Amino acid sequence: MNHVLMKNYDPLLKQTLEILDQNGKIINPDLDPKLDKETLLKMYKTMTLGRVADVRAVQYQRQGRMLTFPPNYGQEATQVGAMAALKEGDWLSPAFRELNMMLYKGVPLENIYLYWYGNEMGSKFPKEAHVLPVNIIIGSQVAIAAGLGMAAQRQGKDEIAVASIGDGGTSHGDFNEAINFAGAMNAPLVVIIQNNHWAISTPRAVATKAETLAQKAVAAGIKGIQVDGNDVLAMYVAMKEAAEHARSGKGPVIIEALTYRMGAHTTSDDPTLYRDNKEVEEWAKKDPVDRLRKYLISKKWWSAKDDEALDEENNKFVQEVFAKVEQSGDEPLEDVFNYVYSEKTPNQVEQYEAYKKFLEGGNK
Amino acid sequence: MATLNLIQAINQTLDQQLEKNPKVVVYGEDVGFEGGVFRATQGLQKKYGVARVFDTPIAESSIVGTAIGMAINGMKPVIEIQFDGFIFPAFNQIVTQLARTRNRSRGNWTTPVVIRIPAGGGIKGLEHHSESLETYLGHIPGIKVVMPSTPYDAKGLLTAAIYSDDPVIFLEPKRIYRSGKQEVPEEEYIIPIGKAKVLKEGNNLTVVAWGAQLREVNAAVKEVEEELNISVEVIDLRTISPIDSETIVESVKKTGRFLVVHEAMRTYGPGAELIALVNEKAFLYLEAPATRLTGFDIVIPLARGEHHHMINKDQIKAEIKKLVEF
Amino acid sequence: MYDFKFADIGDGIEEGKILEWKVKEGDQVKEGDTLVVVETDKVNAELPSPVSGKIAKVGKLEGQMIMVGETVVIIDDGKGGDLPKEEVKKEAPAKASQADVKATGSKATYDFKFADIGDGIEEGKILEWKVKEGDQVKEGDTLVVVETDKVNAELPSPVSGKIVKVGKKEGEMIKVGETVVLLDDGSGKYLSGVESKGEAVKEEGASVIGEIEVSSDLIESSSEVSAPKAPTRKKALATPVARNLAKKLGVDINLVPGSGANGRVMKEDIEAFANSNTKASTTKTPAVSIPKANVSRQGDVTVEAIPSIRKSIANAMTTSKSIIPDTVLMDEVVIDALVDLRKRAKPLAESKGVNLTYMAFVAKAVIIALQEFKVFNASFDHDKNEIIYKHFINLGFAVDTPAGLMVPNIKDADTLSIFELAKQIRELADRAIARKSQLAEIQNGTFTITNFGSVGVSYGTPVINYPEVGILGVGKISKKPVVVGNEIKIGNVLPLSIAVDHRIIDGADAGRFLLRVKELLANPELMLLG
Repeated sequence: MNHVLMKNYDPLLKQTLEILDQNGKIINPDLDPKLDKETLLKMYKTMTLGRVADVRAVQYQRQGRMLTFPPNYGQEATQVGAMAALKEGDWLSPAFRELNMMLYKGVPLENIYLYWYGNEMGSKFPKEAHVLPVNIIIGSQVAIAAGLGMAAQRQGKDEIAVASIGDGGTSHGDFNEAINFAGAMNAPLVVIIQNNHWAISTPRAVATKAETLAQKAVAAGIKGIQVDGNDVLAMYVAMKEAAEHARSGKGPVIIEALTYRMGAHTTSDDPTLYRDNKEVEEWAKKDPVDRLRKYLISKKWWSAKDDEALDEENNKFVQEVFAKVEQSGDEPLEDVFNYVYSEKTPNQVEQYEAYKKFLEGGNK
Repeated sequence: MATLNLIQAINQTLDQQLEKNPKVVVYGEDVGFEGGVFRATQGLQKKYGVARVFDTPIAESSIVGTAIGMAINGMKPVIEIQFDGFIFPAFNQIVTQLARTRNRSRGNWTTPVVIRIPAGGGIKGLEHHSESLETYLGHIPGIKVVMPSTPYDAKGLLTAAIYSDDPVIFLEPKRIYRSGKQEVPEEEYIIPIGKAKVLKEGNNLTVVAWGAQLREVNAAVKEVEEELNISVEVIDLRTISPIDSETIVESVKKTGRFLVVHEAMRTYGPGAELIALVNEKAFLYLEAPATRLTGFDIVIPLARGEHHHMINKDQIKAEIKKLVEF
Repeated sequence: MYDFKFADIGDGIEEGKILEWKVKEGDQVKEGDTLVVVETDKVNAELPSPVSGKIAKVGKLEGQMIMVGETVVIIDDGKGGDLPKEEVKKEAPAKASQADVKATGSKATYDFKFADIGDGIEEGKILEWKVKEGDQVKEGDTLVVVETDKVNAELPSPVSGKIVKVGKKEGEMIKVGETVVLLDDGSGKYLSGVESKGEAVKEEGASVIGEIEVSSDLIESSSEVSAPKAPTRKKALATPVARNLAKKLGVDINLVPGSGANGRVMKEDIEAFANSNTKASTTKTPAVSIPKANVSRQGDVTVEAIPSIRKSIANAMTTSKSIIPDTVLMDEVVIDALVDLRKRAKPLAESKGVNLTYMAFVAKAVIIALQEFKVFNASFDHDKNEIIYKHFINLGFAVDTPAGLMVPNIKDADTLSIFELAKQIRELADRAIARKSQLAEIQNGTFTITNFGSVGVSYGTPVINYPEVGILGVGKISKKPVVVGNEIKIGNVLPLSIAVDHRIIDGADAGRFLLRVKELLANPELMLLG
């Protein structure tokens, strides 16, 4: 790996990495990662499953069966492309819009659904996935990721940490402080900025005067690259190099993925109030799943019929998972007390016992 | 056995734990090369190297944030926030991440970080170098908060904090950092978190205090016992959160009178919590109202006015008299 | 003379080290000239002369430590005055580092420390230096004379070599273990730095901001043994309201038996307890240990908890009987004249709405007797061995109420007429039966009358209402044969039983009292006379 990209794609010069265009054609053959069929199909299946799960979640919410949910629709390539380039053991410190990243890293859909259904137990992911729970606080996840990486360094573990943040999040003090800190500490950290162009109702231009978000790396003294976020191959290649850079002790990297939030901020948001549908239509033409499908079909690794079958399979699976989650009911009383400390404090024990007694009707 | 002051006891503890446990790392602003502005970490970088004892940029939020990540991935960070007044940028990480990661992940990930902070006033310092943090921190479920009052306790509590599976904030009463020395055993020992200490037994009144305030309390008690011919029970709270209710309540049941003395501001201060506790558990034993003697609801003044806010021995004596004569 | 003292030149500096003198004694200086360079833990400071004049005396030598407030140099500014006396250097204040001598840059190989030169000496005073820095000495040469509280000791040099640095000045105190002098014995084994006993922490007060107190005061060693704290005395459980009430009534709440949950002392308990006490009484109740009633399983039993008023009565009776060694006298009196008087007075009484009972007459007779036999209207303080005579008569009447025995009293009964007495007796009784007695009514009685007659009984041994000292029991009036002259007639006979506290009232006194009461009842017109 020559770390060519960082040199050849300077965000300050507005150079954006693209490999696979919106028609599914390789336009930068030199940089084609030449992934095998298995890998590409895995990526495609994750993206499609993620999309179906996403669409369904919004539907369930509208039906009153799911709580507030932040859609990922349109950001599948950003998320899957990046994760596909990681090694086992690498960490993900997410925000809250990383459904596809989590799926790719091995977090069961059931967990993800259970969390958005309103039960923290959903966040108890399989530990080996090395994925932290959804983090609602903007920006905190970056320093945490830097710490994960710093720990790996000191223990001789071959691990890097990836933090995912949105365009809006890059305005936050914690983001700016953390990338500076990580640079000074030479932490093995890669930050993916999912620039989906909207922070609730705030367009990207209001978030910062900087022309790109990747160039914030310059001030921190670290590497930054801007990538076509809907191009799964470009995301893969960028992350591959970035991970290698960080892993080898050369310091953190920022990857700004240019993508689009096709849906609302969350199911409680109405984007038609603040954005132009024309913009949405333009971006629809650049759909990430579409272009990968076209590419796969062009390579004869996939067909429209396969697609139909997969769609059916995905829908069935999602429905089954959600049905299970819907049966899960409420959290037991103990759970709200048992995980705050390693052992309940005397006050907690007292409060728990008293309330338990009250519920059992013994409120004499 | 060596006689050490508070700073030396802390230094010895860090040294001992760095040696014993390769997962321990010590970092913060100026703690590496210079050894900390109070010299608490003096000599440690030289001994254990830059990877384990190091300086950071001025970035409290990230100091705590990275510590969280390091703890999740197997290390034992013992970090320093240089002064109490600087904790606020890190408050976000403390409340939303440090205190909650275990709960959020249902036990998958834990954050056993130790945060050392020089705390409290009485040093004629600049603004923001003399804050009391008990209420802010004590109100956060998911972390523990301790404050020693002697060198012996400092080592015991800091060791316990480092061994704890939960995040612990170790408040250091800076105005007594070098006031006096005490015998501190060479070997490792622990003072359990959550256990107060009865410094002195008595029958007529219970006084609870912690950290540097005990100096004035002890001096006041000595005098007032003779003057009024009473005996006062003095309790060092030692752990701000979780509170050792049992020790306090048992004492009040015996004496029937309760006084808590603290430097922190009055309203919504830690004294209110202890009085609520006494009210709940020892109401029928009270012969006088449970009382708090506290700092004012003000910004702690600079050097020329600081003495107004700090509580002196005479104030404590007067309050004890009032209670005993109720 | 101008005594230029070392000031705190910034950030809470407490001491510095004289690095380099730019002038010497005898030099003329102008105001502002640099006199000396002082090293502190923050900066190396040049100290400018505060006045113009001649350098009269240098305060500290190069290499010596100077504390804030000590003299840097004395300058003769032509304004007269003497050189200040050489101060005996006080024991190094705790703030200063133990190392008075810092050998930065000096090449010393031998640190000659002051030893215990005999008999447990701990310190001495430098009297006179025989050498100075730079001198060559031979092993055995006397270096300095030190005054101790035993001897003036000459300290001989331990090695041959050059005097590098003097440890203490003449007049200063030196402790055992401190450096007398540093020497270079030519061995080439230079000391890395002078250590005094204790840690040579270079920046003792380091803090960057503010002032941190530095002291070597010893804190008592810690012991983690926390003994379990057993309560040293049994305490009453009570709300603050109840405690306040007890205080108001002058009752020691810890003595009041509690009828509430877990033995909690309720307001009623306090009131009932106060009922059996007077304000004046300070007699401590000796503890009565009551053996537990052994109700072995002889057969079927029903267990019933008693109400608090019953409990109060039980306690009061127990108290009275266990404290008072009582004695009882009984007699009877023929009250035909009284019967007659009452019959004649009845219409008048009724017109005034008064139910004229015999009790009213008995009350009057008792009152008169109490005024004459004052000890019967008193209390006895067993501890102080004092009799407390009361100047008021609060006459109590035992009332049989549905809840149990209650003894309200008429305050200042001696001021009332018989009609008034009759009225009040009735009212008291009514209120007691309705359980509407005021607290004050059942407190502070001085003597009690109890009526057996109302239940058809003639004689009895009434229980004294502690802390009173007497109680009169009035029995049923019955027609009996009586001897008048030498003839037997039918007379109305009133039985009387009086119990008295034999600690202060003997049988004879009781007899005399009773005699008087009888006399008044037999001849009611005497009650008019007083």
